[in-house]
Amino acid sequence: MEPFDTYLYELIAKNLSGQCTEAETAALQQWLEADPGNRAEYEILAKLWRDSHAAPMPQRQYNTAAAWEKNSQAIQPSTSRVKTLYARYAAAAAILVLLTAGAWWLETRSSLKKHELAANDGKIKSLELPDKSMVTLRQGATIRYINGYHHNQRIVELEGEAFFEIASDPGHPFLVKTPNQSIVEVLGTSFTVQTGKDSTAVTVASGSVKLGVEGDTTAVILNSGQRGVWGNGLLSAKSNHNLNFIAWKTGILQFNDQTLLEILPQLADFYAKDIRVDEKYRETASQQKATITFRNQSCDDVLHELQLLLGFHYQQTGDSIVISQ
Amino acid sequence: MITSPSYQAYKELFHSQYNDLCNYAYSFLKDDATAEDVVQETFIKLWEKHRQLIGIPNIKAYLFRAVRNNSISVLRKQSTEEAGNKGFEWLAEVSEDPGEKEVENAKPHYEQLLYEAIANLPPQCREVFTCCRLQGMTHQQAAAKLGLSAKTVENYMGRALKLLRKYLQQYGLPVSILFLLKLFIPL
Repeated sequence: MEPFDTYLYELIAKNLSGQCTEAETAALQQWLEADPGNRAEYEILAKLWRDSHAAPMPQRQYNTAAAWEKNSQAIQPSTSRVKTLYARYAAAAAILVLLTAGAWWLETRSSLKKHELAANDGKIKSLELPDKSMVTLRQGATIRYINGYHHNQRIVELEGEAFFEIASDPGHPFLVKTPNQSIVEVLGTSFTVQTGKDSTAVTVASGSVKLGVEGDTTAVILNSGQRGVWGNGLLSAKSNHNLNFIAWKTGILQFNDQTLLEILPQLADFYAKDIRVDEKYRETASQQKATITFRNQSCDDVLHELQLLLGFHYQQTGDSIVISQ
Repeated sequence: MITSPSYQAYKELFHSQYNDLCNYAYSFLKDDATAEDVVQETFIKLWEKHRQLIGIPNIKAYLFRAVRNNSISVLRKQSTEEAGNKGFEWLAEVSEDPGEKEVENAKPHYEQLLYEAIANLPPQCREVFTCCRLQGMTHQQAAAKLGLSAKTVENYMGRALKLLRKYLQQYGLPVSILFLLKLFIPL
């Protein structure tokens, strides 16, 4: 079946709701007669249209609060169960202690081994570190960690970009090392680290972190809502105005009274596309503003919505898109 | 207590989707308790085995698919007491497109899939479609209610139709009715 263009779907939806003008009815009629396949497609859409009216609607009310109560109990690690088991096997306690000692020895040894995880198959990847901290790797990022502490510190090495949610443990500071010798030190907080060839950017979502350099005492403290950059031997911190710094993880893109010219580079980064603005349209694009939120929408959807809002045209060839009048 | 941000996200997801998903499971199972069990199990599996999915863009679509597959698997168990059927394992194989077996299983449930397709429309598109198609508003009325232009409403309706078509097509639905037309309308 050949791909239908958006206009045709609009026309069909309008016709099915009985809201076509005469000219539109005529256009549709012409299309229907052009090919028997067209009529078949129309009939399928008309059937969908009719049936959608009868599709089951959510009418029943369920007790979400009670269900959540049940759910949260089911997913909490249960300590009482462990105790009962222990009591039951009290007779074997002596053996258990021996085994534990052995296991501990093995554990200490294996902790020296470095684990590595890379998000190298085009998808973002999440993992839980041995200390229960969560890490989400953006496409192309690699993390290395050991199963244990190094001089009482939790240390990971990161290349690329990642979002961290650190399990609070004041006794064991959490360090993120990067290929360019900068170090991010945290206690319990969430933030992104973006490492480049010779720069590192840290954006803090909650809590605070310290960004410093290996073998140096200078450092900046970054609080929630701040972004710190290390590059060219300089450390700097300022407030973060980019609402979309973890869009790659959340799937949510937010724009608050931003110009099209400011919006497009963020879309380009998010969807990994090359978006250019036609020279003749630049002036207008720098003045058109939008306040809008997109949740998990495709690039085409997003451009389409902006198009409805701002009235530009766009053309996509492979991964590059051109915006014009 | 678990208090990590992903737990927060999980909690929010549970609260926003539980009722809709139970309704969806009910449309298969016609039994409230079983429907709630299926949704509950699906969420527990999500947390225990596929926590990394909680933040992904299509999590809602995955949940609907998981609840559908799990409901169908319960139905099958009820009717045949099939031995060795694991059930509740669907989220293990996370793929964008439904596999051959999933398509076969889903086919007899056209009406439910249609509901699923509507539930998975982009938020604003879904709202427009619900107003116009399910609540019977005209495009103008829907435009006034949602604060959109009539043109935008038309556009959303066209997109909704296109997306529904695309969603159901994955499952080979609705079955083409061309040959019926040939019987009744001489072309």
